[in-house]
Amino acid sequence: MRKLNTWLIWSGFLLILQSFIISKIQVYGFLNPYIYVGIFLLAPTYLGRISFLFLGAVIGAWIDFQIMSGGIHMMASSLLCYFRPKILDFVIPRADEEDLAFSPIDIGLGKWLIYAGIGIILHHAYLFSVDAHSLNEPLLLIWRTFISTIASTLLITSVLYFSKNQLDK
Amino acid sequence: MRNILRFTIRYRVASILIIIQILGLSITYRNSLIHQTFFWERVLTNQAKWHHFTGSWKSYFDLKDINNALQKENTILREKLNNGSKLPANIIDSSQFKWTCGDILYSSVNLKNNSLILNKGENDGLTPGDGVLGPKGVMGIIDKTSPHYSRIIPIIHGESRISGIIKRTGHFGTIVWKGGNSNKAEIIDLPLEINLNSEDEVVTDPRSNIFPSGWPIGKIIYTIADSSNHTQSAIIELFVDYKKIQPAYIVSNNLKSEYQKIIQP
Repeated sequence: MRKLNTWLIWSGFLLILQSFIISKIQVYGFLNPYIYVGIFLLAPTYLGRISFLFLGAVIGAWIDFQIMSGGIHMMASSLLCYFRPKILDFVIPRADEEDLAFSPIDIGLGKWLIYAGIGIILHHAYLFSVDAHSLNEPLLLIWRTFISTIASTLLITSVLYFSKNQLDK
Repeated sequence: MRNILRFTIRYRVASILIIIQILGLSITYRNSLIHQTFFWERVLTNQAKWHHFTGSWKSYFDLKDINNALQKENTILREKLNNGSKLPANIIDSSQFKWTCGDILYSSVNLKNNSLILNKGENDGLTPGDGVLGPKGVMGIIDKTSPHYSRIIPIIHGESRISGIIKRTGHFGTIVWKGGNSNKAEIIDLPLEINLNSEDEVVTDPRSNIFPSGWPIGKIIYTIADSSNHTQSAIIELFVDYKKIQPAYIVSNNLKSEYQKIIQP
């Protein structure tokens, strides 16, 4: 997204959705969608790297504070914020310099899914492995990451499509 | 110092990331009981592995001390076992037999009259006539003592006479050795009418007043009938193996002199 205002409204919306609805959902104990990751995926490219990193840490810490999970969201979010420019550059070359738009409506669903998928899988894999604190049960970890990534990606994409007329005109 | 500063400034984003990660990890561990448990479990596992590694060497070097301690413990246990013996016994009170532990220093097995040397002597309260048992069974009787050593007449000595009883039937006989194999001896003067089986166990005889009753000596391999004397004898396999250095347990009868006095005519 290119406009800061739009992104801020988006962020607030996603955070509220995450805090009050999505965090309360737990299916079978391993399906935990985290749609607040969309904030980082949609953040404007002209934010400085360090400030972006701090932003990730603060939002992650806020989520941690709400669901009482120590500091794992803070770690995963800051990691995603660190790698987001690289992922963006990989999917849409030169999006950074030329300030290209990269919401799903702009770049098409396929590219968006690749971009969002890579970011979310990075976030979730790191999150769940720190949460489990071991690689003793790799299959469970992979399964949990896989299912939650699909759920998060679908939720973020559908929310974006659903509200495309209201925002980002 | 300047280089560190330069490095930090150059990789400031990555440095901040690392700081945030460490911060997050410490918060996680501080607040989450599960993570603390995992952490301490890991620490304890590694500590245990390390102690196991060092402990195995330590225990190897400690083996001698452990052996001595076990030997002492065995002595005490035998003394206790003696008190609760269920066999018909000559035990008068619990302090009749005194046990001492020692080691066999020397043993000969291929002579006609073999002998063993023990590393305990008069200073340890041993007197000639005390019985000696090995870990598996009766070894012999002390016949000579010096302040620090004693000589044992084992069962495999041409002049050794130790009385034994068949555990199953209770009949007694005398164990003698006529040379040859060092783990076989003969029990003679058994009544002809008893029916002996192989594998019947021969144990010490309470009549001898040397050993407490019921300590194993050997087991019967086969029997030989002597109808002219109306007796039978049996070849027994000795439980004790004289061909190795081993611990020995010396048993002294405190009431021996009293017994000797009363059986004198």
